[in-house]
Amino acid sequence: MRNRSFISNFRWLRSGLLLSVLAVLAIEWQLGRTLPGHYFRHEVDDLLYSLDHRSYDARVLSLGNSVGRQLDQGIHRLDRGFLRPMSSNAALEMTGQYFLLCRYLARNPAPESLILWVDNPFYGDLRSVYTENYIQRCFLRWREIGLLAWWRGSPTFTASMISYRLLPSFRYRVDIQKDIPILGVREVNLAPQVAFGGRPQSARKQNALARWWQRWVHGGQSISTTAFERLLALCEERGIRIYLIPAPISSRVALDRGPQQGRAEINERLAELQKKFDVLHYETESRVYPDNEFVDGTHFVEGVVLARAAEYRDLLQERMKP
Amino acid sequence: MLFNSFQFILFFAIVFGLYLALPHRAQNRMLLIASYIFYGAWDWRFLGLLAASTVADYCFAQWIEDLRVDRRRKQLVAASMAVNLVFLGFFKYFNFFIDSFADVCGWFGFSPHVPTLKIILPVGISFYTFQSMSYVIDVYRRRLTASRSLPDFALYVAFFPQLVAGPIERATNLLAQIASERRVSSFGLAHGGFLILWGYFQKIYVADNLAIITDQVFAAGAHPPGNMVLLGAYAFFIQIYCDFAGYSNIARGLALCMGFRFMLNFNLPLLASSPSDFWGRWHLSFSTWLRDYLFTPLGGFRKGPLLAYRNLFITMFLCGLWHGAAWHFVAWGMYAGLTLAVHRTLQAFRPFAKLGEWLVSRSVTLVLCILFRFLVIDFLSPILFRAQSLNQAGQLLSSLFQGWGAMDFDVWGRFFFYIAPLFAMEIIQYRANDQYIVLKWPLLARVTLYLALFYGIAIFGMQNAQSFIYFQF
Repeated sequence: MRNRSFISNFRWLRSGLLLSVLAVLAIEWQLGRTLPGHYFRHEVDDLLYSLDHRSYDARVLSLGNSVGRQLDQGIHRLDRGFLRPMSSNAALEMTGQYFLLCRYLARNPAPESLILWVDNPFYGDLRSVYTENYIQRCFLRWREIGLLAWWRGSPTFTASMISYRLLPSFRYRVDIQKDIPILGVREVNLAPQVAFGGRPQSARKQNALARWWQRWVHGGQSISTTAFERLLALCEERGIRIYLIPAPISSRVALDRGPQQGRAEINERLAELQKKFDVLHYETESRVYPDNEFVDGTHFVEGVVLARAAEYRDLLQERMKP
Repeated sequence: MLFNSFQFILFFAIVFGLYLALPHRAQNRMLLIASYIFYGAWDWRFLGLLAASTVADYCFAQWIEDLRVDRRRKQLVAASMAVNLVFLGFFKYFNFFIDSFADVCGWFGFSPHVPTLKIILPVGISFYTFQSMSYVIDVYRRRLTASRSLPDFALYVAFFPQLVAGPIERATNLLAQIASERRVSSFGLAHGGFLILWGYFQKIYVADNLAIITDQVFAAGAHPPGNMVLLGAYAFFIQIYCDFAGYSNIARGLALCMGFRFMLNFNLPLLASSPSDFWGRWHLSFSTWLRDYLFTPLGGFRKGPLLAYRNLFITMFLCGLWHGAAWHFVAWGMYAGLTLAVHRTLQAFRPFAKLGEWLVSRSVTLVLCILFRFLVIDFLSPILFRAQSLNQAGQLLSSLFQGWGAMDFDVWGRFFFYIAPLFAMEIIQYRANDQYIVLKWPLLARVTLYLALFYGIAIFGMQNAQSFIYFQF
């Protein structure tokens, strides 16, 4: 018991360190109320803030990657009542899309249909270089932290999320640094090393323990697969029809890929899932467009967005016919 | 497992919880297991090397103690040194010596085919090897009785706070603390807590942010203008200090929380007034190791000035080589030896000695001495140390004379932004001659300081944990 004598002598109550901890908790509590409405690093921050502070009553909800974002924004501009555009970024993987849908449904009535602009819903284990910025820093409800702790099985991954949850100053540190001109932080959407001209963190490797955990929790499947199945089950339960649309690609990419390389396996797995979840509908192939319509090989040039959005609106209307 | 990672924070929380719950003997066993887990988290394949080194020195020390014949004792201590140096030499210097041999052959027109191995340097090997060697030598010198408990000795070698980057603890200090019961006290927690917080601040706020500047200056193929070379040199000097002193402070703080007392490793070396003063403050656990086990046995300053300089240069040559298997480290060590030799020579002349005493006795002139040492004498050291080769060091130095270049005030501003709190704190500590002076401040001032340190870490820290520079040594 000698080791614990410091607990019983109560001198630690006058400790500067302890009082500092209490002061930090008070300051962070206050910052937690102000910073999320002050700093918006990327579209996911915007989206989550809107979901927390606004109400929606969409008939069709659109989630997905950044190409989907171009298209659903285009459709929204063409036909405002058709869908609620909430596509954001592929970095969210299916896990982030599932959390977005959960947050949407927690405050709003269920839509009739959900459009998912996703190339491969089975891809992703939350190990990309973007995971920190788009998942760990954004989805910080205790339920989300708990679920990711289980799915990912990494104490450090979870500890990082908890610290973001408890310490908003830490969560928004790059944004705060950007407000100090002398520090020269210009880009907050990247890891700070990149913002300062350094190299980005490399993708996280999976060690043997992590592989074992993934086999045990996910049956050897990816985390995205688990999230996708959860999303399907949720939609099934709420009667939401899902339309999974792969992103359009340039003719050069199509040529590189060959005859829809890898798509066959995805379609096979989707067909399996369709037997289990009859709310699932999907397009089997990506549409192909000329190279000059893409600005970086992936995203449309601004000038063609509306035309392509109109095509996809027609496609969706066609598919959604009863 | 870096100190500045969530992984380590979780690890230490568990270890400390168990430590509080266990009695003394079980604490030691638990700390030993935790230390091996800590080391194995980096690369489990080298646990065998750590264990082999430990068992070898444990046995050698007992045999040395049990023997009465001096010649046999000497042979055994030599054998122990050989085992340690073979381990160290193979992992750290094999390729260096092979490459250097090939280079020398090349000068004479031969081009031998020499084998090079892809050898991974086990993290912290220089630290635990030197720590273990000091134990055997102390037993040989009869300054210490050999440990009869292998787990205790294994913990002495592998104790996780100081395993990979020191301080290089002497058995006379640490082994005795391991063997006796320790006490977790509010004093230890307050002092340890401050050291940990200050160490993290030095590492995360100062060192990691300065690294961004130095990485740009010292990048391979970079041709920075003169003013950036100057900035890079000073930034790296402060970076490596904060990186290493930060690690040492965290290590000492963690140990103090558990009731252990590690030796002071850095005594405000940035504020040293002369080269001798600097080496009396910088990496003390290593510099005193070199003094006690190399410089003094060589004869130290006792055998006349010529031998004294020889001893000094041998010591500093090996000091450079200890830091890394590369000629620029050797050049750095030799330059440090040269500054020490020049300072010692000047001190030998009475007028200079008097002048030196007068200079450090007044505040204004003392500040000038400190600035002169830092800005002029030690300007070359960081360039030799950080450059990737002697060639690059030469290029950087020559660029100083090729053009000053336009000042990038943003980068200079960032440099001062990151070093200002460090110097403020160190000047306060220096003036009070007490590294714990802030613990004597009024409560409100302490809380304000802790909050400032905490938010310096939380807001200005890098996104991802950066490794410690001294791990590679």
